[in-house]
Amino acid sequence: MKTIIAATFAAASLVAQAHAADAPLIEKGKAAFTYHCAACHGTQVVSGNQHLPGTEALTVKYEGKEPGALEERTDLSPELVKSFVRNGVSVMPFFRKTMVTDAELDAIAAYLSRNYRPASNDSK
Amino acid sequence: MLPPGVSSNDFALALAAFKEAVGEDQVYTSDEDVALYQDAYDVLWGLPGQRHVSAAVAPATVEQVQKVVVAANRHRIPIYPVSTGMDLGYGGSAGNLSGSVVLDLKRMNKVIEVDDQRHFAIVEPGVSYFDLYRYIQDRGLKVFIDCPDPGWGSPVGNSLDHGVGYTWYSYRDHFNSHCGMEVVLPNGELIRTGMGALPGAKTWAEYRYGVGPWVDGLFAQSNFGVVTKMGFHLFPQPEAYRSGTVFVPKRLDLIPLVQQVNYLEHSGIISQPEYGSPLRALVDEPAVKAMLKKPGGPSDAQLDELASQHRLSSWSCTLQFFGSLETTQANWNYCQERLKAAMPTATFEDGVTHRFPLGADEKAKVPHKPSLGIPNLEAFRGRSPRNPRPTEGHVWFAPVIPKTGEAVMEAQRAFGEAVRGMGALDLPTFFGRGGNAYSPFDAPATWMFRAFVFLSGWAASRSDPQQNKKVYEIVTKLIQVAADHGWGEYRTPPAFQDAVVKAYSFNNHSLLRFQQKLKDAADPNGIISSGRYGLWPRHMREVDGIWPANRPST
Repeated sequence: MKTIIAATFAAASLVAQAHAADAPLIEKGKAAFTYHCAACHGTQVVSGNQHLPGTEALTVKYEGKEPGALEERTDLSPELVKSFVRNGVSVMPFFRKTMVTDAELDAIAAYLSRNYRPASNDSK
Repeated sequence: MLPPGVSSNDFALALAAFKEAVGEDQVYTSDEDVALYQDAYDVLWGLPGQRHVSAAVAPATVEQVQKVVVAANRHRIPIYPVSTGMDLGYGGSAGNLSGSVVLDLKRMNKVIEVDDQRHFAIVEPGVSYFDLYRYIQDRGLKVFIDCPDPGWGSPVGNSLDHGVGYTWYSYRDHFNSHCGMEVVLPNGELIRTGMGALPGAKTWAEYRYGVGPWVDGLFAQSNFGVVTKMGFHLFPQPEAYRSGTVFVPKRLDLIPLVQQVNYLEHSGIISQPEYGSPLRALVDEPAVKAMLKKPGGPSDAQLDELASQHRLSSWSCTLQFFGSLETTQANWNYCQERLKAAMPTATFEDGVTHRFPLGADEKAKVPHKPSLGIPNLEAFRGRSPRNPRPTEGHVWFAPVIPKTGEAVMEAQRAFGEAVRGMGALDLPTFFGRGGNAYSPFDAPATWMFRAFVFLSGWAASRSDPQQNKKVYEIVTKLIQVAADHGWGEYRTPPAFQDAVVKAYSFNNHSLLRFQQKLKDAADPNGIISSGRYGLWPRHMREVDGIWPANRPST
């Protein structure tokens, strides 16, 4: 039991260290996400008529099994995020490198995967 | 892939010159990078005629654009300029001619100036509506922008494609609200139009004509140069907004309703009117569906009976007002009096009011944000309870029809019959199934000040070429139906540009032939945007002196 607890704390500590090291990139990613992605994939406001097509689509698709807002997901790997941006999906088009640069995409991927738990399913 | 008619040696020399002009990292040639320039909403995706790109080059300055254009001319490379390249549904970032090099202006993203005392802006092509809005909001400037539904487009690119918006009439027509351009000509020379031709001009974005022939129109929906700056008139931020809706009970009431609303709009009393039919809510009911599928469709009397049964009005029109709270109320009162006098059975409902500036919470509650100049992406229809099978894109069919109730009903009949005749009832469209397209409940779009656009949006797919083929056939048919009725499209994706231009054939295409003469003089090598809106370079006019051979739509 002690071994399991120690291992859990060690893993949590490693994740925390990795996040601390990535903090500036994650911060950049948050800004880039807000600029490029939030108009479709933002967090739904509580009231009003705001309609965020990406968030709404994912909410309907996952029927409550995963959050509709990408920022709340824990199953998005950096690679998966990059793949959707460069390949598009459904009505979402793919984005050129002059629209979302590779550096911005690295940051967005870091931001959206900051809580990534590899055991989760890799699906959008 | 190579540009058509260009040797691999010449292409390599051109790419080297492009790299020298903009830097190695801004010339995109790998398959992976070039694929991102495809039109994600290409209706010919997976079919012969799908448009491909050979490379892309992304300058950041006017001087770099000039160097690229000169190099393209030297090596006879077809180039296709795009601003933000997000004109999805009307072509995206891929040119008419497969193998063109995309001249991607997204990195030219400076807001040069916004003046909220004289009410204008000057921007570069890579500035999006979101960018311009943020610039204005961040500085607390007292001006509105007028934006189309998707905010990721460019004021420059959208206006050059004759795009439209939703606020006051003189701002909704985006090309009409522009004032002054800077353009790199096909030989690399730089010009400024209007007052901009005067060195040190103080009114470039305020008085559009300067002196002499006004040439700005040559650079819209065309291929005479690369626009690198544009001025736009801006709407001074009003004190208040108000809306109110008029309802009329009978189907034929649409005729006097449009007459009356035309008067109010053309007199400057209302902003954009928004027509609708409350009966549209019934469109998926089995009995109504059966009625709509019947050859000839329902009669006016049957539709009136339907409205009566459901206690619904046949038509509505929401009137919008800008001004102070007091003047907008006075104008709404006046509209009700005038409409009631002309149509005694009309009823009225107060809408919403806003005072500007809006707070973040209030903005979020606005149901259609572009009506208040707030850019967003809410028009995109992904998966939702109302739309369980989302499309992968769409192409627009956008015929211009007269601003009368009679024309609306004639267009409903003509296009509806064509859609039914083509077996398109179950095809996906932007507004639902094909059976709903041009139903008797469809209302026209009112972006234009003096005409209606009777829009439909048909699915484009990156995974179903057979569906694309069907959609291509339907839109081609609708273009013909429109032409037979004296209606033409105001804007169309590249897949249909030849077919649309072909319909504008007065006096054996004399307008197009005149444009060809200008094109040949300005761009003798035909390097810029080959084939845009039917204007092909001289060496490609193989059929009737106008069209290339083997084009899908000619």
